[in-house]
Amino acid sequence: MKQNRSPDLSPEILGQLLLMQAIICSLPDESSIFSFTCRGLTDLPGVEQVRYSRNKEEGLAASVTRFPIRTNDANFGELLITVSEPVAFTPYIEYLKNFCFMVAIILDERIKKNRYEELCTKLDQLVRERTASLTKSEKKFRSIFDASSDAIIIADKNGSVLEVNEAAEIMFGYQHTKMMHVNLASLMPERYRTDHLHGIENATSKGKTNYLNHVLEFHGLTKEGKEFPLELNVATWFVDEKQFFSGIIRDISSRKKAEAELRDSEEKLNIIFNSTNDGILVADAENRKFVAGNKTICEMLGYTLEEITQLGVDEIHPAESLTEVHHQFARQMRKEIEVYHEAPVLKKDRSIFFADISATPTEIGGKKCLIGLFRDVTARKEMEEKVRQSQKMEAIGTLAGGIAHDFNNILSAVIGYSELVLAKADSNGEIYHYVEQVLQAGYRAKALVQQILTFSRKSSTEILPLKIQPIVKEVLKLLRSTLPTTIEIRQEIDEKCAPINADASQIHQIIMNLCTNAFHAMEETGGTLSVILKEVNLSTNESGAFNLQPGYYAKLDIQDTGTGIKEDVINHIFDPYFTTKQQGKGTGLGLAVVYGIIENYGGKIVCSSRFGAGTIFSAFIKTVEATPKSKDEVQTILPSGKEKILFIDDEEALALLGEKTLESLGYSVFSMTKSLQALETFRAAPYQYDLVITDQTMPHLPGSELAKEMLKIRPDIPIIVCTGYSSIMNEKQANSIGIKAFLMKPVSKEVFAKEIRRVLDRTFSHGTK
Amino acid sequence: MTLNNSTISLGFTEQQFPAGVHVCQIISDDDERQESLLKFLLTGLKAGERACCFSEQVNETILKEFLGNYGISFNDVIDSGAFIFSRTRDIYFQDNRFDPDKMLAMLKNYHEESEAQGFSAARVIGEMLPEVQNVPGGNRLLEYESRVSLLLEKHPITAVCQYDARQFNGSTIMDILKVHPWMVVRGSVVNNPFYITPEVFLSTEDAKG
Repeated sequence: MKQNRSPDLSPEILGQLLLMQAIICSLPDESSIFSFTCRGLTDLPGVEQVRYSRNKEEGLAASVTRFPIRTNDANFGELLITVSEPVAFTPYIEYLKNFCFMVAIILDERIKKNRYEELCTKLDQLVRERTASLTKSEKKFRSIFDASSDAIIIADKNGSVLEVNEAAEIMFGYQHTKMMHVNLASLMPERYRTDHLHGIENATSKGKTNYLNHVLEFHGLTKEGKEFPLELNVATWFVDEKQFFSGIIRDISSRKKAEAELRDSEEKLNIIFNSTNDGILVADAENRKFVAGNKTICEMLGYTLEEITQLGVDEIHPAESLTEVHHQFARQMRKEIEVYHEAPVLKKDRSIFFADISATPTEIGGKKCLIGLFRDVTARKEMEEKVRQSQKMEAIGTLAGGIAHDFNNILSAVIGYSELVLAKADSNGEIYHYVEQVLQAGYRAKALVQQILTFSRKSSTEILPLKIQPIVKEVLKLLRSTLPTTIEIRQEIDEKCAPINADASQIHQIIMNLCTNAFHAMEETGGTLSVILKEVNLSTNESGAFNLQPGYYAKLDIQDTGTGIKEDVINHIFDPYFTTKQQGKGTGLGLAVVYGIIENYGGKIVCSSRFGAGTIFSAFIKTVEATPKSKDEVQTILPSGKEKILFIDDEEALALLGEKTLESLGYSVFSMTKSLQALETFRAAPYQYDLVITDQTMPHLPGSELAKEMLKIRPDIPIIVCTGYSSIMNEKQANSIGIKAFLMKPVSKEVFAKEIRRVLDRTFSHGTK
Repeated sequence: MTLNNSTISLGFTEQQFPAGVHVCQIISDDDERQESLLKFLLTGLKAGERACCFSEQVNETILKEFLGNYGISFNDVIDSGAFIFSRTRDIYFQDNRFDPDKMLAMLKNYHEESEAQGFSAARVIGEMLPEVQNVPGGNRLLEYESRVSLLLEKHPITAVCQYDARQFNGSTIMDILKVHPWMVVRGSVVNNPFYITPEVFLSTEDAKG
């Protein structure tokens, strides 16, 4: 397609170049572009051929002009144009150069675009892969999010809930959709909301809050309004400058419950630990220092708990015992023994008590320890000592009982015959005076025997309701006549004090003993003896202090202003044979007898004294409502009678004494010394006698057996048994076999007179003889 | 004949043209092709013209949806004969060959029918397939295009020929440019400086394939 061209520039040709340039942009590749270009440029004026070469060709014909297609950065080869008419072609050379440059730019841009598209494709691929990875990751996160047993809540900066997991829905009782956009404040009780809002405000405005990255404990609120304890961990983060909060919430109801139970358990253990009567100490097995102790051990040792935890084994035992203490400690750690008996324990005040220490090795907080239970056995030891003393007294009592019989028989003769002598002697004569002294000595000997028997519980007593006011007065009247005038006697006797169950002679003995002691305490200096009797009502607390039952008691105070009792002595004053008096003034039995009598009545005697300032003894004996037996006035005229009496005593002197004494009372008396003979005599004429009086201790046939035989013969015969001492017979037993009276030797004339008359009168009043 | 001499719009450019322009559109992406095609058809149908489309790239579904969006029922315009739609192969390669004479006769007939049926004008858009180069008669493509220009002088059908630059090589594209008086360059329709009138072109060796 050759045309004649004007050598001038043709607008049409320039338009073709422009159009080609435009269309090249639409062509897909270099091949298409250069075939298009070569085809199009062939129509240029003066051009014979156009071809494209990727590489620079050498040795071209002179008619061929090179048009490089390149930019500064890229070379796309060259167009080789064979020009047949240079004149026509030359005006377009510059346009062609521009055209080629434009093609180069287009190709360069296309390469860049392709690269860009490749990059985009790669990027797309990466984005797809990343998206898939993120999707996978999110799926993983979601599954973790949903599988978490802790509630997870995500909220925006206004506290509006954006996402929750299943645990949160269950924990707060919401359905998923309903929990969305709920405000966090509604998930907590009202009382927390102000703090919560401040926390959110601080985190959003200042970027920090105390709540972030800390584990908080407070309460949550379910949709139904139920509170529960929770643990919260809050975090915040930003996405595209938007702030979000996440909270991981753990329901700690179970933990709190367990903690409460543990606290409760600890409290209970603590209560048990501190309420036990045994002291408890926990010692570190290694250094043997105390790591814990209970309240009781503090009281036992006199230390505070703080002080105890500064101490060790060495500080609570006497130095001389430490070798043994550590030896036993080691044995207990090895479980060789459980109890260390009667360990001496040193108190803060340096006094010592004895304890049985039961110990168990254990481990506390990884440390080997020994838990020791301290039981104070001092009282037990004292009790054992008392038991030993009691057994000793029992032996003394048995011995005393043994000699009392013979001694009383002797005294019976001494007292009886003295009384007979006095009855016949001139009361103004010298002999009368001497015998009177013999009689007084006999009475004192009798009283001594009685004291020994009373102390050893061998005497028989008559416990009956008794008003003690007359006895107190009688004793004081007697004392007034015998005590020196330097001793003032002050009495305060409550006439309304109710009677007590007691034996009159024992009450007499108590008052006499206590007053005699008071006198001895004031003998040298003089002073005041106060005797006060009143009825008191002891409350539970007051009675508890004396180890008594609460109720009404007769309280007898005997107080002196004498020397008082030393502190180291006062705890022993009731011990038998304990005396501070000089030889001859005390037997050491007085207070022991008093103590024994009152204890026997179920009462109590206590002593309060200050050395140099006097002493007061207070005796408490329970009062009764029964009408007291009249322990009335002393009869001055002895009762007498004419009845016939058979009198038996294996000791001839006593048999004769009885005969003479009873005859002096008007009775007809037939005395015998052999019990078997006496039985035969009675059997021969049982109704010849109105009364039989017999000694108990006799060979072959004791008094009680004689009485039984006689009663078989004549059941209504009244019989009185006398004894110096008998371990096999007492008044109750005597009564049970039909004996009407049981008298303790030596029997005074007065006692004989009264008892004989009483027995006979009772027999007569029953219409028998 | 109701066809008048007033100008028409091609739809994808704001320019106005007399009926019977023969435009070549070298396309290099599918969106460009579809957008031009649909706008061209829509503009014609809305203007009361008869429209005809030969394409392998658009289908009935796309046409129905697009036209429907503008209140035009695809079925109605098909039924009324205002719109003719066919696959390129079915039209250009009947009997598996390219027959320019037959095609030109068909265009002539199309125009006469349109005229007879009272359409204000007639337009056609078709995309040539690269396989034309491999079917019998395919070497007569440039002759065909050149003769179309001649036909349109007597039967002013507004025709847009779409060629996919990705499927034809550059020299072919250059040859095709030479037989179209109008070109679409970057959305605008311009006079083609490479255009060789049918009288000249058909006398050259190129016209003989």
